[in-house]
Amino acid sequence: MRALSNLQRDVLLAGLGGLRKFCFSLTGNAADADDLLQTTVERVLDKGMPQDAHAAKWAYRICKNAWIDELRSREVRGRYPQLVTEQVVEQPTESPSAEQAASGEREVAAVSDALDRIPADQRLALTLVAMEGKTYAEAAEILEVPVGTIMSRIARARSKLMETYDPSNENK
Amino acid sequence: MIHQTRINEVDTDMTRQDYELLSQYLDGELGAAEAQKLRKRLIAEPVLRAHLDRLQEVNNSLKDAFDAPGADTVPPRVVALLKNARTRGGRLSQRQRAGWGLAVAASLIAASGLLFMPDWRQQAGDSLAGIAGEDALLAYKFEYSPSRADGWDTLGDGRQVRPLLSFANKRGGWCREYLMLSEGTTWRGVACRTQGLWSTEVLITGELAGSINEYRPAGAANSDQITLFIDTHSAGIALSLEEEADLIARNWQ
Repeated sequence: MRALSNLQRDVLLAGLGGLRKFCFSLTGNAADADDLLQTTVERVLDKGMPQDAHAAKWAYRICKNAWIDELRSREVRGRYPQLVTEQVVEQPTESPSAEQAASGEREVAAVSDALDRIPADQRLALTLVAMEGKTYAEAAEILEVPVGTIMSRIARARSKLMETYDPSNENK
Repeated sequence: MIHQTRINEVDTDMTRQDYELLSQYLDGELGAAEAQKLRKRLIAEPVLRAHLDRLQEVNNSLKDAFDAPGADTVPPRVVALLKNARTRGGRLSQRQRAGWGLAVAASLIAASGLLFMPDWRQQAGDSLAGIAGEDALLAYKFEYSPSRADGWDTLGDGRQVRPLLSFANKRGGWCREYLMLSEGTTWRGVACRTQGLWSTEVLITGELAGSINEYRPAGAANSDQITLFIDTHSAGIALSLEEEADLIARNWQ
């Protein structure tokens, strides 16, 4: 594996915002999203990428692997629920803007909680398509599975979400 | 639970195949014929319609939750990590660095070629979308704003743009080179108009050196990407301001 080319680095720089958003939708909180993004970039720089690699898709793939690794280690440490709880409890509610922020955080926490109940492979497919706006073909390339698999993973993810999450309840 | 009952009501008669169908429809992945067929079913089948509405609601909720302001804010330490990384292209020589403090006025003439990366646009792909890809605010400026050697046009979202030049490309369309300031980062790019839509074809990061009229690319290959894109794709020299004004008045026709 070789180091990055200037072009690949520039493409990554241009896409860092999108990658950060992807990290946020996977982890459900800002601090973990920043950590996941940093881990992703460090891994990309450490391992490099083939000269003909599509830099942005490669980075999403590395990010996906880093997140799965993190999930596994969290499972071992058993501390993930604690992180979600901390995020909700921390919010002040004195002013309207603070209240708004808290409401946003609660929404993120509720959605994250529902997403946490979905198997990781389904969540990744759903996140890439529904939140990142990737096509099925792009998601298939990033996750290295056939398009048909993406299709069924997303449908199953949504079906599962419908059982555990009701947006109308969160907005009340 | 009310929520559970509602889902059960909606779920009646839903098959896995229907789930996949609705899901594909929601994601814009159904072909025109299939989508049309589904739309007819949605009119005739209220349960299916209700289910689509619920899926849409959940989908919107997912998007809203993670589309909060700051969701795409990258910590400076991560940007620095990448910017300072050693790349295959190596570091610039002192002579090369000096040469890249190019004046914008000089870029009003299509530059001669060095090395063009033909797969840039495909490589950049989705990454450009959030910065300067198919971007309505930018497209509006490309459509209506004349090129200029200084000053900035401010977009509705705070980004600042300066169209630098216009030229005809070999496909019979029009392209514009531009500078953009966005969240502390300076970008230089070329957007081309195809079938009425402006799309950024090449985009590099860099910095304005000295005065705002000097632009210094961030990497060795970067300057080449812009100048060689122009050189490779330009059908002639850049348009004069009069020619450009005439073209803008005729909606680039």
